[in-house]
Amino acid sequence: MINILLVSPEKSTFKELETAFQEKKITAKWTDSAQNALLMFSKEKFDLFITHEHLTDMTGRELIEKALVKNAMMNSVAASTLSHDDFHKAYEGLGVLMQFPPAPGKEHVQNLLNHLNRITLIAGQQDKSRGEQD
Amino acid sequence: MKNGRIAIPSNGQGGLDGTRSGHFGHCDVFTLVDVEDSEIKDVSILRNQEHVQGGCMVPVNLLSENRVNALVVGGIGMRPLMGFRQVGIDVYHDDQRPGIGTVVKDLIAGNLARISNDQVCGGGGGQM
Repeated sequence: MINILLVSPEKSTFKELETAFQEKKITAKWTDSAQNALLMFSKEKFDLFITHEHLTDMTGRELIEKALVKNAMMNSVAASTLSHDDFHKAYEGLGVLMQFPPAPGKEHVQNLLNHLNRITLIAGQQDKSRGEQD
Repeated sequence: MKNGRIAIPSNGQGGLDGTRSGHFGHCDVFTLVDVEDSEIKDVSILRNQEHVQGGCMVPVNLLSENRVNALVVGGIGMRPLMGFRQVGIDVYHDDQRPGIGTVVKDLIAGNLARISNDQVCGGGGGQM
C-alpha cells in the first residue's frame, strides 16, 4: 500500500485525484502548504506526493527540492501549466515522476500508477538479478 | 581512498581501459573497482538497469546493493545526488577526462573533489 500526500492551496483542486485514489483503495492525505507538507514528511513516511506548482508559501518546485533533501526516495509529481519542454527545463534533475495538468483527473491517476509499477518492476528485476548472483 | 569499491558509469563494456559515460543514469555498465590499501585488487562490470523518467533511484539502489562506496560522475541531478548521499555513497566530480583508469587512479590518490550542491545539473547528465 502506498502512502500519498496531495499539496495544493485549495482542496478542491485535487478532489478528482482524491476520489480516484479512494476508488483504488489508496489513501491520499491533503495539506494546503509546503511548510505543512515538510512537517508531515518529518513525522510520517510518504511514498509519493503530488504538488501544485503554485503554493501559498513557496513554489511546488521549491517544495520538491526541500523534500528530496529530507528523503530522496520519496517520489513526486507536479501539477503545472508549463509546456512539456518548459516543464522539463524547470524541473530537470529533480527526478519528478511526471507532469500533471493543473486539475488532474482519474485518467492521470491510472497513468501514474502504471508508471510507478514500471519503476517497481525495474527495481524488482534488479533484486532478482542480485538474488541470482548471491 | 585507501579501501572500498569505486563505481564509474561507463560506455560499452567498461573496464579500466574503457571510457566514461557522461550520463550516469543512461550508462551501459558500471565499472566497479575494488581498492585495498590504496591498490586496485579487482575490476568487475555491473550492467545498468533501464532508465525511465523519475527512476533516478534505480541506479542509487543498484550501486548501494552492490556495496559501492564511491562514484565518479561528470554531472548528476539533485535527486540522485541526495539519494547517493542518503545511502552513504560519496559522489566525486570530474568532467574533463574520459578515461576510466585515469580517474580511478586520481580518486585513489585523493586528487578528486566531492561534488558540491551547486554543481548539480539537469537530467543527471554532464559533459566531459
